[in-house]
Amino acid sequence: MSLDGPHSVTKVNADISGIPSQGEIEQSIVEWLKNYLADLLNLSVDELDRSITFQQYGLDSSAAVGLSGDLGMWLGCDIDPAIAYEFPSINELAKALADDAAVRNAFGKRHSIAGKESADA
Amino acid sequence: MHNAVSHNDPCASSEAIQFHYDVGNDFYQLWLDPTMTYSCAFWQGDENLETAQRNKIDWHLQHSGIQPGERLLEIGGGWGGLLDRAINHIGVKHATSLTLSQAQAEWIRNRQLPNVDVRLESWFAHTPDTLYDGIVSVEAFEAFARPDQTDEEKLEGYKTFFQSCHRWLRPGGRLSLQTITYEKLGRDWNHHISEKVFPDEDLPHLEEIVTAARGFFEIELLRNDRAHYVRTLRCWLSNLRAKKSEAIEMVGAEKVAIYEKYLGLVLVGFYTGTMNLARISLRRIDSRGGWS
Repeated sequence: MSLDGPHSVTKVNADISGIPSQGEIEQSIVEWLKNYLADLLNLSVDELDRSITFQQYGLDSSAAVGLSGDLGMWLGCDIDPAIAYEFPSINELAKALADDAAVRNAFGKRHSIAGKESADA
Repeated sequence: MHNAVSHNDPCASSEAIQFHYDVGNDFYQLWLDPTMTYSCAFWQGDENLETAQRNKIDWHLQHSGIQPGERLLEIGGGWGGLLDRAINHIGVKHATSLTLSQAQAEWIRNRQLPNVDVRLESWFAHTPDTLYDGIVSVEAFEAFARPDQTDEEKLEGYKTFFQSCHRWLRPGGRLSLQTITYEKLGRDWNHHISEKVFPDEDLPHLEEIVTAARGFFEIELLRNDRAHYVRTLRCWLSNLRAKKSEAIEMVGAEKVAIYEKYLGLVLVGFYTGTMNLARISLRRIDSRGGWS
């Protein structure tokens, strides 16, 4: 099930401070997006190509807006509804989000080892 | 005259208009700017939403050509931000405002603006007492056609609108118009979300506006400003999310979710160029079919 994002975060090897690095955050987002899209498109995670555009996968505007909302809920910050158009593949979107300090900050608060229990609760 | 929507009236029904706007003034007040302007702002720099909305109002007042001491008609009045500016800043002598929303009409009346006549009637039913010097219509045109009309009926309705504005304006008078248009997508697009929020409405194509206005108005200026709408919608969405718990308390979680999804979808529509936002300044053609 794609929405169990926090479980994939348990694979993240956080550093000693408990805050995941930018690369780890990007990898977590990639995993979350793969699970989400696999569930949405009824594909296996392995079939998904991270460089193929969401449009090529047949995502319509309603699904793209839904993705931005669900992604924002998981990350713990507001995500622009047009984000999947601005960064139209798993790779591009994950990189852009991990590059954003506000996203990293929200992610760190919600998914760091110290904060993880409250995020799971 | 109340709810004077005749059988031939091409506009969305007053019930449909009220369905949208009568969710409650308080709800819109939560996420719109303090002037309660519910249409695309006009961005010039790094100003805030309230200033950008005033820029928009001023743009339309300027392009309506209205001067101090003159008479203005507003078609689709919203919550009265433009009327306030026309009366208190420009100093127009009189302003008439047509709306189909009971909640908006009451709101404007409660503002007790001097020399303003707020009418709960469609433009189709409007009969002015004297000629107007300028007309402004901001994002009401979207309700001038219904999805059940044929393309020909839709165009006829638009022609009747421009013909009426032509008849109501003094020679040389101007109409400043702002409307959402179909850009990449056509009439077959009618998403269920938009039906839940704006039932019974259909958007124009730019060429339908140009065709319908031919012979009645010359187009002096045309701007396509969809990027301005993306930025406006980002502000509204951000405001709504910041006041989410209050909004849920006011209208319920389901309604808030519908609006949040709707604002997101419309934002994407403008972002991708599925829809556009036209601002058009039109000048009355005074000698129809006469000497050239």
